[in-house]
Amino acid sequence: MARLTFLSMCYQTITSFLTSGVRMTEFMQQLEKLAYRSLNIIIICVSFAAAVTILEASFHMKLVLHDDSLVPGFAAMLIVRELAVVVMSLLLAAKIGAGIAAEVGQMKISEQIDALKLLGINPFNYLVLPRLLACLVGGILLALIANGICILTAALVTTYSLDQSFSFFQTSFRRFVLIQDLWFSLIKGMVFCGVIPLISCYFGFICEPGAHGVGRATTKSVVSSSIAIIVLDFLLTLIFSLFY
Amino acid sequence: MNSQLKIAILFILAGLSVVVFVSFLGKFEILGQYKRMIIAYNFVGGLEEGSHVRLMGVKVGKVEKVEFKPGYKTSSGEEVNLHIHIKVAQSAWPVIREDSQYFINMAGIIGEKYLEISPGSQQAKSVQPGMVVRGVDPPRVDQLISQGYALAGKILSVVETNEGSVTDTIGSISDLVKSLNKVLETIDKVTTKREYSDLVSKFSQLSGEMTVLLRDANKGNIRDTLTTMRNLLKKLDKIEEKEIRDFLQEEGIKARVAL
Repeated sequence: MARLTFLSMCYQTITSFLTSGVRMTEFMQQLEKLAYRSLNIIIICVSFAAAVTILEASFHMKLVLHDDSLVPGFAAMLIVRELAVVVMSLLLAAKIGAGIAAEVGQMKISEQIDALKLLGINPFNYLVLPRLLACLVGGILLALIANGICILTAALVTTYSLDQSFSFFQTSFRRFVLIQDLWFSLIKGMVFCGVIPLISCYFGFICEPGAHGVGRATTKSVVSSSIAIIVLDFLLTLIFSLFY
Repeated sequence: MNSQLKIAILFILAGLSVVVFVSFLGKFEILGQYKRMIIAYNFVGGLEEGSHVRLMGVKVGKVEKVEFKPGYKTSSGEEVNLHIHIKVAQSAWPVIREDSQYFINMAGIIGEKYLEISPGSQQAKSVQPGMVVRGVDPPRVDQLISQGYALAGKILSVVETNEGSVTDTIGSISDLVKSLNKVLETIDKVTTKREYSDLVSKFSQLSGEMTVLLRDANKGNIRDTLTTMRNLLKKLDKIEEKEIRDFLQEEGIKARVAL
């Protein structure tokens, strides 16, 4: 059997979606497992990331300009365009990417994938597609939630730490943030989260036998997903900048 | 808790986040909360869609649209090519009158543009929603700079064409100032040297005595006159020869003094 490549896995997953559709039960399970169960860690991390962004920006603005009145606007723009979605995606890459790679890798070395094939079940349709779709949908939902949480945290930190009013934050937010920032953030969330299951499943499928092989597959999937997210972030930011 | 419920929670949270985002962006608008009008300009200086509208410095609305209207003419016949569509909060609307003025101003350190409405007089009528009014075009900084350059060029050409006379005038003024300086220096020297000052005061005293002598001589009282002359000569003795010579030389008078 020829060695599986990343592109052939993506191709077979898409083909299986077009021919057999999606397994809704699997999809719902994966959505709950990948998105819902990651909610707490995402809420905690993005909240603190937003708070640190506001405080750091204020510190530097005061140092250079002796005035931090522009901090809420700038920070809100940074949060919506980059911070919320990138932090969320990197957290997911670490959490679910490792999980998917380990799960699929274990199935590979215990020959469960071969068993699926014997039962006439397409492993890409059964293993990759539900995870991919769950991550695409979950990515959008989590990007929205991460943005909402970040904005609220930023507003609270601005009010209580920077000693500026809530309405001042709102005014600054309106001045700097546009509705298309949210759309682009959602697209980024969807793309970043879509990459995670593909990379993780691929490393699971090519997992070498033994605990050592599973460990390597897990590590590789997390590292590759993180690099892919950062590179894709650059490319998407470059493309989206053409629309402003 | 089953997985459907968990997914439902996920969607609800995402929906709430959208509400938070949209409310922060100020996109919620209850119907009828705003009234709209159009302001005509020929130059808006960077005012754009979403810019704030302020009335007496208070934020009351937003610019909704910037529209080109080629060939549009106001009631006075003036051609105005830009229409700014604005919405103003209903509560602020009655303050806007027909004689209100519409300025484009700049705020903040990043130079954010906004539209400022000055309240009209109470005698004037209120504006009607949808009405087109003429705004006050903001000054064009680029034009001012180019006019400044033109003015500087003209001044330069005037100076160049009258170079001789201008130079002569400046030379004359310089000479005048120099002469004045010399005079002032001389006066300063004379008034500060103690011996000259004494000399002047002694001559002054002498002159007074001489006046008395001449008056007495005229009267024929010769004895008194001689007494006066003796006194006068005694006083002259007190004036040193050197002081007199120095003074006369300083004043450019060559004289032989022998006392």
